[in-house]
Amino acid sequence: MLILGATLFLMGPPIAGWFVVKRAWPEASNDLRIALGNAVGLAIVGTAYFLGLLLFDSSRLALLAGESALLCAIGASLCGLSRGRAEDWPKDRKLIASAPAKHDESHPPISSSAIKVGLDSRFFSPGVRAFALIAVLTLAMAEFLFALDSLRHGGWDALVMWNLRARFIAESNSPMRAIFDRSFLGFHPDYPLFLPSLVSRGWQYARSATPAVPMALASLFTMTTIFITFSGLRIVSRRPQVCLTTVLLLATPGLLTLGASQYADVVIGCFITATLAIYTIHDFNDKSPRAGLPFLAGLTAATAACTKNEGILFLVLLTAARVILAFLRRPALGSRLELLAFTSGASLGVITLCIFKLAYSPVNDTLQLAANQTIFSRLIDPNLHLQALNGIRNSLNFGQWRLNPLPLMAIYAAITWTPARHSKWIGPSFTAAFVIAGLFCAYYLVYIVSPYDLESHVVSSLDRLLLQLWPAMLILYSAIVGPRMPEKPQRLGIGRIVLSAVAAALITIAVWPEEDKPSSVADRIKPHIELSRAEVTAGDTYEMKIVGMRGSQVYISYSVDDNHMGQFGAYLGTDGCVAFQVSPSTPKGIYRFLAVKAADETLWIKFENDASITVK
Amino acid sequence: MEIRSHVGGYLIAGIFVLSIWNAYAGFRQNAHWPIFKEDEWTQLERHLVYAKRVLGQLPDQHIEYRMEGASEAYNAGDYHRLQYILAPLILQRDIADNRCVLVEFCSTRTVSPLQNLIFLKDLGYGFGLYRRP
Repeated sequence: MLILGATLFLMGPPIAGWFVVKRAWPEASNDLRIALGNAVGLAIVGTAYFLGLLLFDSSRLALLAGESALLCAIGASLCGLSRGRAEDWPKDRKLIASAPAKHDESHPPISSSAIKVGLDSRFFSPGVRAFALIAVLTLAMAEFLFALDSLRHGGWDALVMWNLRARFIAESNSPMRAIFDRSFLGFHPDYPLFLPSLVSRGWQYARSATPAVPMALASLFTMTTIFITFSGLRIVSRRPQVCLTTVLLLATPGLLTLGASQYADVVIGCFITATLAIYTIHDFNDKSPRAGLPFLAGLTAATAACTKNEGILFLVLLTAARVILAFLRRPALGSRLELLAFTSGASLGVITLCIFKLAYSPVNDTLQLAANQTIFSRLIDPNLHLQALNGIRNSLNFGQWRLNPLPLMAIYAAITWTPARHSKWIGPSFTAAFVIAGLFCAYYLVYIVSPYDLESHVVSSLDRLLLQLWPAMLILYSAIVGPRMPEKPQRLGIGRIVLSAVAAALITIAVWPEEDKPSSVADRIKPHIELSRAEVTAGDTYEMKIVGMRGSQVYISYSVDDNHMGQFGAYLGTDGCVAFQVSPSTPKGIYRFLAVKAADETLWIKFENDASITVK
Repeated sequence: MEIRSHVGGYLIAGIFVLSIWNAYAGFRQNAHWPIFKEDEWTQLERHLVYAKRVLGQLPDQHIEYRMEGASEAYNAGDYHRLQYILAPLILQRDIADNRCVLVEFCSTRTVSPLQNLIFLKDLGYGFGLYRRP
């Protein structure tokens, strides 16, 4: 029963998604149809379940809503298919992986010499490519399996947020009341419930809260992300570049570990990748308007917004990019059709999200704590900008690579890139580039204006934010560096100079040693702790200074009213200081800080002095 | 052009070798044996089956949680793991009158009487159900 239920819960969405993709994009290759179908099917069932949960506050009715949505999607797709309404994909430019792009005879490809820069050289024969791909794929699968076993109950966020909420949904009589209980106010209650909905659905099918369900979902989303990247690149990029990019993606240990940890970051990354891949493919052939692809993109983009708050930002930037393109590129009718299709695809997710945010979700804690007068002062503070840039520099190894590939990738791009020939001056990569650049700018601003300690905020989150975008960044990289288009010669252009400068900066960053916190205290002296305040209330900030610890990442054990509460992590700045903001959900009482240990050690060391603070 | 071709080729080779090395390093970092064996978490879930059944019958799903005999380096993750296992029951740290109290005897794993609390039931594995007068 357990196995049957688990199988049903896993197979339903990909099957429904396959039909939907086939209806929306009949000419899609099989691999792309399967890859996108996984994402689309999970988007439909998860969002419908989420909506049912919001409307009925019952897991059974939510399950009914989710499965009904899947059946409706299959039914509507079959009706559409049986009427024979195929997409008007121009037959002379039918894009399948094996078909080469047509060349314009007035600009014969330099290809015989220029294209042989790197990718098609003798170093890069199909045999070498196949060997590298198989080797990396094997190692990646093994690594993922081991990581999955180590994290079979999920990482920290899965324990206190995603899977815990799924438990309340699946087992509580009033899930929404349990999820928004004041006991959990400190764990981002404003995050949407798409992932917990999917996990809960799986547990309902399996009739037990088995860890196999979240593990299976984590595996499905991770593999789907990689498969979408690979399949999408086969249309917009040359085959050798596809192989190189896939190898780079598979050889990102941070991505595989993040996927195995059952976090929502890989889920949102999957939908971001799917959306940007769809639009890159859509813009790759700008001959005729098509409603199917924008509809699919709207569906996946809105689901990203239903997964984490970053998805809302992504949806807004994506919409802005498409509106800009509508003004600049397409005829009015085509633009309106595209935007209408996008809106209809996104409608289910946006409606669900609006209900959640308006009826249930509290205000985001970052927004709540940031007062207007402090935002401006933080924006003009040069020290904060320096800290942010330093934090970004230290996060360039977000993939947890033993050897960072970014400098080599940048040098390769600088040497080999030549602008592709497009019918319009805006290429098919505009949407992806606009959205990714916009997200980077937005994250930077959030770090600056956030009331939390900037260094610890960056350290605890930037890696995951970059990993969310990593597959999409690779698609963008490949579409720019190795597009499936004829190229025109260019001796030296501003683009090559910019890429060279970026490459030089990345190399400099990679070889420049990270700042080392000076250690002025001998090893055997007990650490000393100082607090800037003795009493605080909600909204106050206090500073903690710890002297005598090596390393910046530490854990501190504490008690409240003499009850041992466990430990919390802190990232000490170069001066040993870390600032904390007291949130409204912080339990009141007398906090005593007892002992400290470095993140990579097991030995706890008592502070040489007593330190306490009262939260009133 | 020839120079670019050679340099590009070496760069590609470098990226491939680097990627294989990174994949291998990730594999080495995570590799362990055996896999999928029963862990401490699963054992704890098994020990708490009876406790979860009893606590699920309480009229109020909010329950105060206390520890007895915990060291100062008690892992906060253990608390959240317990909360996860006992969900939909909601553990609370703050004291409230006339509420049930779940006490975990961390070091002895043996339930014993406590001052100011009325003993109700031994839930096994060092967990006891009490009530505030």
